Amino acid sequence: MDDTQEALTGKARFDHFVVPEIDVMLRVARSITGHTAEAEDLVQDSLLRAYRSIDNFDGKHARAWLLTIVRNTNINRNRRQRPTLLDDPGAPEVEGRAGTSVSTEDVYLDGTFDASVEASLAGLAPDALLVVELVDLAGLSYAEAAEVLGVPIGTVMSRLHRARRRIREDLRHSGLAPRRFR
Amino acid sequence: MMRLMMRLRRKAGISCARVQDLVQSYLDGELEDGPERARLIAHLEMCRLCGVEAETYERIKASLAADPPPESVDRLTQFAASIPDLPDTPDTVEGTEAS
Repeated sequence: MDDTQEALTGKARFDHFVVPEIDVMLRVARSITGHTAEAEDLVQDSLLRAYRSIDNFDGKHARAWLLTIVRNTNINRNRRQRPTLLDDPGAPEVEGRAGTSVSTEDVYLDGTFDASVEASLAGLAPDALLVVELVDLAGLSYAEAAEVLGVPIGTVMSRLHRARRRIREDLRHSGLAPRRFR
Repeated sequence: MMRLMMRLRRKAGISCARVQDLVQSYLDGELEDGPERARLIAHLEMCRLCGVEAETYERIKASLAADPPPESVDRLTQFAASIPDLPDTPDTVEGTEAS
């Protein structure tokens, strides 16, 4: 953080570090909630929390800091509002498409592919999901993600690659990706 | 059998198995420039199976990084601008500690 950034306080600091990251916060929130409208509510609450604590933020890795806020805000919201999410009749279902003649191109274009990727995220282990969020959703490099998580770059790589292979396998089982050959 | 075939199959001086090990790093822009990267790029152009594999990972990455609806971002940006004018909320802020 340079001297100019350090001199910022309150609203100016919030505008500098947080507002430019709203789209990334929304992307991560959408991956957590699975719904854009719910994701907007989550980001709104997260922005309030970020604003309240902006002067305590050390200026390093704003995206990772905000991502932590989004995740923790979601946990607190669920504790408060939704004691159980099991058997939610309104939850969207992703139907398997194995055996259909629909091409990968078609399902990619009609949004089925995106919905399936999103559904697959929910099945990832927490440490794998976190790496996917940092690298694929928030755009951090392997080195940046490793620094944020306090793990070697090799660990970031293995978690990330394994997570994407898992997503790929889920897509394959749904008939949305070709058979894996290895 | 298929696994063994992939391990043995080589195109452009690099095996399919090695390409599978490297392809995600390559798509992330994390594979260093050098002969192996050049061989990988040539291999992806020549090998249909590896090309399809790379395309699938590319689509997964694109799907994960898809931009949220601009109207949602606009609404949240307006909300962010209005925060200083909102009535005070409790001082205690949970969930802002580093992970």
